[in-house]
Amino acid sequence: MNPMLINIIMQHIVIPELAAWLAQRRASGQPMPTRDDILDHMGQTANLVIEAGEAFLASKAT
Amino acid sequence: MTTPAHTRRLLAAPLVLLLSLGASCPPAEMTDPQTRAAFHADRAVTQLGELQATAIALNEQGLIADNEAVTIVRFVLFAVRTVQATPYGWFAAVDTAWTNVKLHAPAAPGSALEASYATIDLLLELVRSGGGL
Repeated sequence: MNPMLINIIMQHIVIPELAAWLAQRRASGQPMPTRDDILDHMGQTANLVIEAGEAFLASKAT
Repeated sequence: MTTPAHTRRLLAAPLVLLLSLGASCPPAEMTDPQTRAAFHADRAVTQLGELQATAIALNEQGLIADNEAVTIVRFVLFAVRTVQATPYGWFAAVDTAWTNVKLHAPAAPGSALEASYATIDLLLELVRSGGGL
């Protein structure tokens, strides 16, 4: 993807959206997730994705 | 007057891409490099899961062939396992595998897969460029 396009998207969409998201977290008193929180969430999501993918492949393996 | 389905898909693709973008970059307050890397790993697994769900749903609707869906799902399984095993060093292997997927199961312009493919492209581009923030 064109680096200039990425930069435009970052400046005009991603950064304002992130700022709003962080403001919302602060307003509701939610702490920033820790690295371990994030990795734990990633692991749980990964297990679900793997389970669904393997079930699909099994259904096609005839 | 109604909008044709393919036009709606074309209009929806950039919207999905932009919504995904907002969740793909670590917050600026995450200054620790490993925490930012963990954030990327988490977003990668989530978006890979969305790609897989899209491919399976399209296959069930008969919109993509079995071999195409299987190629995508195999890639997702490889990529997710790689991210899970090495959350701080998955990028090169997944990026290479993704390039191969696009060669063997390209998303046709305007197809339902196009937005999902663009989301993965952008995720990898953001990780490659260090997250952009």
